[in-house]
Amino acid sequence: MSENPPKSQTAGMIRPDSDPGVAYTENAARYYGSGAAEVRALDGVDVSFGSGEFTAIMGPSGSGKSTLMHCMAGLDTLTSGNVFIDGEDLTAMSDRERTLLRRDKLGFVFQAFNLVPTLNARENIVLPQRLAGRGHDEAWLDEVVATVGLGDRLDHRPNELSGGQQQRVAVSRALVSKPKLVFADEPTGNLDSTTSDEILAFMRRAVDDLAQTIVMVTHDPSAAAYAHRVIFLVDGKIVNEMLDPTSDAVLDHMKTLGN
Amino acid sequence: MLTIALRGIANNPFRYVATALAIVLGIAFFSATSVLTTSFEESLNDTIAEAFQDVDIAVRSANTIETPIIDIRERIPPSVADEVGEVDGVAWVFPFLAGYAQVVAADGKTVGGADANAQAVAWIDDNAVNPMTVVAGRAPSAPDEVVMDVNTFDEGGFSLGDSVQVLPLGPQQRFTVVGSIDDGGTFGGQVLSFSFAGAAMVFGGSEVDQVFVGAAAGTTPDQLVDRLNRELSADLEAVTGDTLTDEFQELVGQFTDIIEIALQVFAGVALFVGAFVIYNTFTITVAQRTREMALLRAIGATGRQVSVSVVVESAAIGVIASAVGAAAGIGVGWGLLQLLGSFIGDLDLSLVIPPGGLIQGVVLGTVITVAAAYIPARRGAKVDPIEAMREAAAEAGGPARGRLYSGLGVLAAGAAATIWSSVSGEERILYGALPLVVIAIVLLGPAIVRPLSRVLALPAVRRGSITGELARENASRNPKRSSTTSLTLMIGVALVVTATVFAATLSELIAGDLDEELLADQVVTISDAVAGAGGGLDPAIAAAIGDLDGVEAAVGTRTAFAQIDDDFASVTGADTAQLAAVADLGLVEGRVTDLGPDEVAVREPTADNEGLAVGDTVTVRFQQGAASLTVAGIYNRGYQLTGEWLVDNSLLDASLGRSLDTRILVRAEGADQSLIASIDAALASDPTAGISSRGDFIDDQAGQITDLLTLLYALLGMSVVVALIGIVNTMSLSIHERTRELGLLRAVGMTARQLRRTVRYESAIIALIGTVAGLVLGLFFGWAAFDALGLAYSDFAIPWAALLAICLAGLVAGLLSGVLPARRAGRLEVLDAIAAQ
Ligand SMILES: Nc1ncnc2c1ncn2[C@@H]1O[C@H](COP(=O)(O)OP(=O)(O)OP(=O)(O)O)[C@@H](O)[C@H]1O
Ligand SMILES: [Mg+2]
Repeated sequence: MSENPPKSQTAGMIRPDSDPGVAYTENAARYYGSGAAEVRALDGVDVSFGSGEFTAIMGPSGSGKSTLMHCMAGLDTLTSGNVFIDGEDLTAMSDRERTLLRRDKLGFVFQAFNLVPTLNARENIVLPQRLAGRGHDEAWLDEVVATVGLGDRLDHRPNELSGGQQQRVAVSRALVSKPKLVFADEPTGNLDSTTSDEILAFMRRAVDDLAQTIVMVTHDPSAAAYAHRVIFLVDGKIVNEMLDPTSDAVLDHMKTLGN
Repeated sequence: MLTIALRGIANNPFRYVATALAIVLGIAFFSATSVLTTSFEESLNDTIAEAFQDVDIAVRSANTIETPIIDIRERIPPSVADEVGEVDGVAWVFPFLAGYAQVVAADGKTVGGADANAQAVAWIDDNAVNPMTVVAGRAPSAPDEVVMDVNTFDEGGFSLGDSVQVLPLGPQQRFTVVGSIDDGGTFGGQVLSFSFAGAAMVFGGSEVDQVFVGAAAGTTPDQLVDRLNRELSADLEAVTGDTLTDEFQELVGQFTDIIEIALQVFAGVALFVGAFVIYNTFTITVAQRTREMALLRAIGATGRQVSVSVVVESAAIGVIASAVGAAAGIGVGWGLLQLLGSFIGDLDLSLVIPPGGLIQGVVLGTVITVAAAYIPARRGAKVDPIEAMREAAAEAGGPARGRLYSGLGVLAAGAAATIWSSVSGEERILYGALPLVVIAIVLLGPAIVRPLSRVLALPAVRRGSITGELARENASRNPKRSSTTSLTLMIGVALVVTATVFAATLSELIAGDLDEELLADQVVTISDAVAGAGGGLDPAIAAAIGDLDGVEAAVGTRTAFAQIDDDFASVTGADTAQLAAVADLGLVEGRVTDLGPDEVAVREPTADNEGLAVGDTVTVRFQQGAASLTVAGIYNRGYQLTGEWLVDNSLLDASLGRSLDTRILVRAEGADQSLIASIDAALASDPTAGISSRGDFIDDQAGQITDLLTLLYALLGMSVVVALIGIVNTMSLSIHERTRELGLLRAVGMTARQLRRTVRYESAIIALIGTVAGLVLGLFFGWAAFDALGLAYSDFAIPWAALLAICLAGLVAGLLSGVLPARRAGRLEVLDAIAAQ
């Protein structure tokens, strides 16, 4: 574990203080267990994600990356502190309110098992809107699907799609409802580098061309290089951030963290 | 491996709850049946043995009328008692006289309602022999004195010295209540006792059923029986009290055996359904544990060891569940015994636990569990070690082609056989078609799950409901599993529908027959209980109604058991001079009216069977006396009103001690309120009589089958419940299997409520598939049963309302079965679910 003192505890300095960002945390903490067995998965995190920004979260295994994402997405609840999405305080919400918020304002891409096996690609993509009882923007769907390069596979079920295709479907689903924020937890963790490059390029395009906001957890420096900035977590604390990262710079910084 | 098997249960008790419950319920039902019938039989046997314990010998007629249930003996003159008394070695004799009588309380009604059982006997003066004892007052001695069991005495609010009417006699004839008695548990219900002369008056004759005899000291009953049989006429026979006891106990045994077998058939159906539930559970758990088993195989376990571990697991569950079921069966049996006791009245029923029946239950339950788990266990053995490395794919593919084609083949064969049988009129071919159709449905089950769930989910999907769509896809994602689950429900539903359709058809037939036959406008009836006890209405009542202004005819009818040309026959008596006014019997030949006491009319089917024509003679033997009768006419309707054999009441009056009317058919066209009131007034002398209009009477008669149906529903209910438990189980296991997917759904915005709804819909779809399949199969069965009766197809009645109700019940049951699994699914922590393996 790193003994490095945190260089900065306040991330999101690329924006003026007047813009708190589309999502931010205030002193977010998440402890598991208690007493001697207590694990501080998040230990006082203040982070902010601005609209139209592609952020990568990096850090050693067990550093709290997934926990941070889960807490910000309302999948997990903080031990203390607050999470705000689009101006609303998640910590005050009921399970149902958080579910509706996820459905209406957030998108998700997981590392695997992203799709409902009984639904075909198109049905999976529009699932959140169907759940909300809403229609979807067909033109936007076509654009998203065309951008990801899924066109002719839309009527196939997940078991008829390759891992890369499945992740494209997942990314499309996350984007098609034009959410305020997309969370992606190691979206390319199971893919070969060519496929993962394609998907990451698409995600970046979604941010640049389609004005989406994406937060992505990754272990891969070359994946992080697609982001506007990288945030480094160690032991549940933000230890650093890097703007306009390159994979070499990230790799170098990781080495300092790793030891 | 044994440790692994048992630890498997300990770690995952939930998934075996349903398996265990299916067995517990089935075995509880099975054992309760055994407990109930054994207790009932033993209690009755005790009562019988007690009743006859002081009787050394009984002398009775050697001539019997063999009814399908019990042999009735001819009655013998009371003078036989004197004859027997003179035989050497006889210490005492008592003529035994029993029949129908019922006391009327001060309010003018009978005690215990219209359905109360009522009997009467002549008092036996010897305290040592008489099983009854006087509780208050004294024994009857004068002919107009009566005593009654204490319950009736108290319930009817009688006091000693009351002057009462005794049915079937009229109110003018008064009896004095001189005592209350304890009937010694010999009979259930109301028991009256009179002096011998009194009884002879009430029963309309002193002919006795049998004469009880005591042997003098120094003579054994066997010696005396031999002596009596030598010295008495050939029409009489003497048997020991032990023989009498044995005969009665054998009769009780036959009766309880029939009931036990009938109940066990239903328990068997429930267990059969339970076997499917077990099969399904083990199939699913073996599939879910494919990786675990593959891992065991990879580290060196043989296929045999893997399958043995599953079998051991099932045996452990089978033994435990069956033992619990057997124990529960004792409790249920006790409860049913109490219920039965409250129906029968003051019969002493005590709980007897049959160890044999319980052991049978435990063995049966274990064998069924192990047998049902065997195929899945074998499948476990075939797991390839390589599976351990693969992504566990518990999802099964679509229905196998071979299965589909063989299913279609069998179905075609079944359809062909059905058509052939209806074209050729050969019913036996139809019996062959029945199993073919069942096998075809089982084979085609997986193939019909998808299209059927598509149709069933249509209403929900039409509304654009994503939950309905997901439920539909979930129901058909593993067609084999869904079909096995729903077919368990199909079995129960099919049987329910068969019974419903059959009963509806029969009930319409009865209503149709009566509508043709019955010309009367009003019908006077008595309860089945009174008719069954040999009771009825004094013929004077019919005569009084007939005399009323505005009444064209009032015809009393009655039935008597007889032996005609050595075959048992139920003979209907009627006032044939007036019969034509109240019933249209559909005369075929000769004459059915104005029958003389030496004439009989026969319904066409029986005449054909027996080869009888007008002018032929038959020999009829009643309980008292025989007659040679000439066939005067043949009719083809009237089955509901006059049965197969019709004689004039004058013949029955001559051949039975007292012949009572069980029905009075009244022709009074345009009867107004005042006439009905006058008829009611004529019935006032007998509170057991009631009057109903023609339409009500027909509805009543047609509706009696429906009462039977209720009992059948209750018995089949258990298999339906077991099937529903199976659905709950399959749903729970499926949800467990889909944890990760459910987590995903929740993460992308499915609310807990939507998730619960999806699960309930899926469960409803599966239940509806079973219900619909059961409906189709049941209609086919019902039609086949109907066809076997050889009736015209136009008579086949489909009770649409009842079938719709069954469908709705299936839907509701399915939704309810989904409630528990849905709650479980709704409670899933999203994060845990996402992280689940
Ligand atoms: N449900 C839980 N109960 C107890 N401890 C937990 C739980 N979930 C996470 N943790 C602990 O919290 C810490 C942070 O976990 P988290 O999953 O956020 O790490 P991560 O950075 O995503 O790691 P990885 O890169 O391996 O995915 C770890 O030490 C983990 O063991
Ligand atoms: Mg993680």
